[in-house]
Amino acid sequence: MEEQNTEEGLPAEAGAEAGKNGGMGGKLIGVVIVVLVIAAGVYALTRGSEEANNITPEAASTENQAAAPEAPAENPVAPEASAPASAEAVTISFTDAGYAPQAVTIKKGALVTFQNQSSLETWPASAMHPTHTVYPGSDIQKCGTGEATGIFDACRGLKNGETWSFQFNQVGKWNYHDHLTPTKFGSITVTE
Amino acid sequence: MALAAWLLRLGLAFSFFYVASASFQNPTSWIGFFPQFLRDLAPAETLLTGFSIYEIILGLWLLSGRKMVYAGLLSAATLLGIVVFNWGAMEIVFRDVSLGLAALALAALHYPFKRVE
Repeated sequence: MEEQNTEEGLPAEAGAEAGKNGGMGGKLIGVVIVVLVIAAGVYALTRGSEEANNITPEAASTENQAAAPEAPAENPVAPEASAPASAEAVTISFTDAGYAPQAVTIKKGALVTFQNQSSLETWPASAMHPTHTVYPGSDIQKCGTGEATGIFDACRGLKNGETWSFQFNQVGKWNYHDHLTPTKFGSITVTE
Repeated sequence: MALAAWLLRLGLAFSFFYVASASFQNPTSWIGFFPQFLRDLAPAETLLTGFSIYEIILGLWLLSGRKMVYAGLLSAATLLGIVVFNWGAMEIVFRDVSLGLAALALAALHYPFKRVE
């Protein structure tokens, strides 16, 4: 109520209000600072858990590589650097922490298999979210059509234990993400 | 000043209406922006529907022109909250930083609870 009265009364008192505005700046800056501090706090907490998660896939994916029969021996997990280029099939695991290895390098024509080892569904697809058009020919609009098999897009959520494979015939660095959780992402570098 | 405030209100309201509409049409494209702890609490459809209704109400509030300081601050908190919870997807949510600051600008224009002339 108090605010409403002020709103209606102010237009005629613009001059007087201008004087009050010196104090308003301080209050508003205070509000902004509080908002930024809260945001920074939440960010720090989120960042902390992300960093912790970044450690998990290294160990997890190493185990996965050993356990997965289709995983090539020449594709050791190198979470920080890109894995050596492989002409053979490569498996990327999806855990609750994200994709591992996050960056892989493959030869043109190699098959990449995404394997869901998470309790969550994952939908690997080319950048950018949500259109998935960066990889040549890919487009989420093609999901559900006859062209869906030729695009870098799973076109559905993979449940725990499910896999989806895609053969990369285009040279370049292709970023991808989880369509269902866009904060989970990785990259595949395809060389000649 | 009045035109600037009106454009800010219209721009922010459009953003909220668009997301509310798009999330009904393509729910899988939007569910991922909710933090996991919320997705663990409620089904995806419930979250999307609830947030879409919230965004429509917020958009209508912005268009109404009433209590714009609160509307601006709530809009800023909503948009910057999206950024914080999706920091890893900054390539997508970077626009929300600008929108959030635009919402703060709207609040500043109306502070302290004045009608912008």
